[in-house]
Amino acid sequence: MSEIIITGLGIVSAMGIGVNNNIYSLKNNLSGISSRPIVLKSKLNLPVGEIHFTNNELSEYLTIPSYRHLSRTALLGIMAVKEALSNTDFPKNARVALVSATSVAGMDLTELFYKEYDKDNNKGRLRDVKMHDCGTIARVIAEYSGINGYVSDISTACSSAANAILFAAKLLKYNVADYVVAGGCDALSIFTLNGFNALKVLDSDICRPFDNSRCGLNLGEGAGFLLMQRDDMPYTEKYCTFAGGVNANDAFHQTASSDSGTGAFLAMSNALKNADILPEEVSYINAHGTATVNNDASESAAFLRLFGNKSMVPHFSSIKAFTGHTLAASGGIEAVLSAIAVKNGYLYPNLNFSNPIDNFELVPVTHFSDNNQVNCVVSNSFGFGGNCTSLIFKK
Amino acid sequence: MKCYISNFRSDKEIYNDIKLLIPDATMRRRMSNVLKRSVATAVECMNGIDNIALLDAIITSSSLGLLADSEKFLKNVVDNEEVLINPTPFIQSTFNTVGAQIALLKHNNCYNVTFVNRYHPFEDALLDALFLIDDEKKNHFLIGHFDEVTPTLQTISKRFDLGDKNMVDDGSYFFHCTAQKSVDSIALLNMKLLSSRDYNDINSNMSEQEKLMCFGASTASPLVVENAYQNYNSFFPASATAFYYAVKKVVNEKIEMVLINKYPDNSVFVISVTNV
Repeated sequence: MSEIIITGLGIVSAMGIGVNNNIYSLKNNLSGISSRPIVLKSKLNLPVGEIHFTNNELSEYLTIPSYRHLSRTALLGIMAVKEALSNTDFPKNARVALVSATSVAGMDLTELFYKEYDKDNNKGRLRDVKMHDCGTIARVIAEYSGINGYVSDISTACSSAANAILFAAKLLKYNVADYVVAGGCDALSIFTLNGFNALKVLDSDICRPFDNSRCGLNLGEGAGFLLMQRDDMPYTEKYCTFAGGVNANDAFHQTASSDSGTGAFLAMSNALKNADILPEEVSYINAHGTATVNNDASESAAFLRLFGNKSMVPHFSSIKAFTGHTLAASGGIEAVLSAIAVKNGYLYPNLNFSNPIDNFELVPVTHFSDNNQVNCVVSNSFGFGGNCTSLIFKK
Repeated sequence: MKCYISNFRSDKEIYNDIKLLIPDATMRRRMSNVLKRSVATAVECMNGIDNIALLDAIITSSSLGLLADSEKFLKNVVDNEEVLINPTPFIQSTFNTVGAQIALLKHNNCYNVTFVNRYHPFEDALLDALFLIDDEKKNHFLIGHFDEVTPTLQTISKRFDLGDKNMVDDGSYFFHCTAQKSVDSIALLNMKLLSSRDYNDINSNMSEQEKLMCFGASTASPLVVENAYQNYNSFFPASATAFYYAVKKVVNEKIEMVLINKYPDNSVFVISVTNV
């Protein structure tokens, strides 16, 4: 039976445009988080992982005429998808599909519309709501990256991209497509920044995942996409094998994670079973690690539950202090980094860690290193609605 | 790939008291209209809240998601200029809220995913359920679609000059499906996703009988309907509505139907539904 492999990668994040710039930042401890939004016109003076290009600059970079007036979410998505496809010439008649994920979709433009509409229902430019829905974001990404097959979208909050990758693997397994580009994209918006601020889960400083003093997350923006295929189809470069994944629901609370980490535990343990891998074979966990008090405690509890005790927990780290939490994009960005970790033997640092969380005593990887034996990576993405997904990448 | 349908409901067929369907008063009070009626339709479709615990997967779909909550939150942010904002509509504006709230009723930890797409999110949800049946040998599935028409959506569609058509089909539709046939099974569902090229090949090179077999039909003369989703007065394809009425017709008239849904992304879904 043929395997599902990863043969193309694309990232845009606050660390930079393209995989190389992102890896450079990780190697050199360069966080992309800035002290407050500059491109986004918000009154909130909070640190964010923002990409410091306006929509017009992004359009210009992509040689898309600015009259197309694309949502920032779509522009970021197109950038990452184009990079993921840059090394590939598809065979004639190959069925190429796109499974994209977003949680805010065209909200960056809808906000502009609504400010005017709210005062007078005849006001507000209609071109600002044309891209409101998730479907349009995916359609535009497909259009500008030359994908002319099946297009689907998933939106399950912060685990969206991970679920898109999971669904993409099924499309390949059941031979509905020959190649699938899968991942997610989300732009910073007034909507999400105020939403998380109202929930009181944003840190006014740069976030500190898995640190005892952590007190919240920083929002970010970006996109991350994988090119996935069966290994019986031609390819240029193989990064790693997609070994499997599982979605489980914490079913505890609409926004909070359970203290026992049930959803995270079920996602990780069932994903390992699904991939036929034993817990002791895991080389590295790319943690969800948002740096909220609740998430990191719940995820730590799940680690201890799955691996037995502190000494059995494999290397792990969260890269959220580099990118901010990029919501629906995070699972895509981190899947790309996981694939590179397997290919190059990288372990990524968890910035701003000083002291382990009381009662868990788990210490993440704090320095970048290469030449490690990284045979198997678990990548976690957890979202609102108890939505927990773990993906497994192996050599 | 196939499964059995054992029950189906629309939000126009909620007969039980809402307090029985969603017993938690706080939960009920916080819910927006579309969220409440979608969760209620789901529970009604499962013949009561206890059966939610049986489910192996909850898969939902929507074209525009929870619009009223999205607008309520956005209005709050704009009007209050980003200070003193109520987070509840933000939390509940997330597309997977319907699926999540169904799972919460019985703390069901099963697979729970939401497809959002202008064209075929409902077919994507059905397809995902069929993949899961094959992959993980699961049995009970709840598949549902929801969309809501709000005054703002109506105003915007008028300004876009979309005529009398709403942008989405207002309603919630849920289907309880099982991998195994049971005494409750009322219809058999078969589904294929084809590229338009493969579909055209089948169409031009096969005899009528071969074609029907290829489409998963089990009788010689099913009722074949192309793009039924166009019939339900909506700007976005109303495929869940069309599927709901097809299942109803199949069960009531004891016939077989083949739905052929063609979409602009060069994909064709062929769905056959037979009375059992």
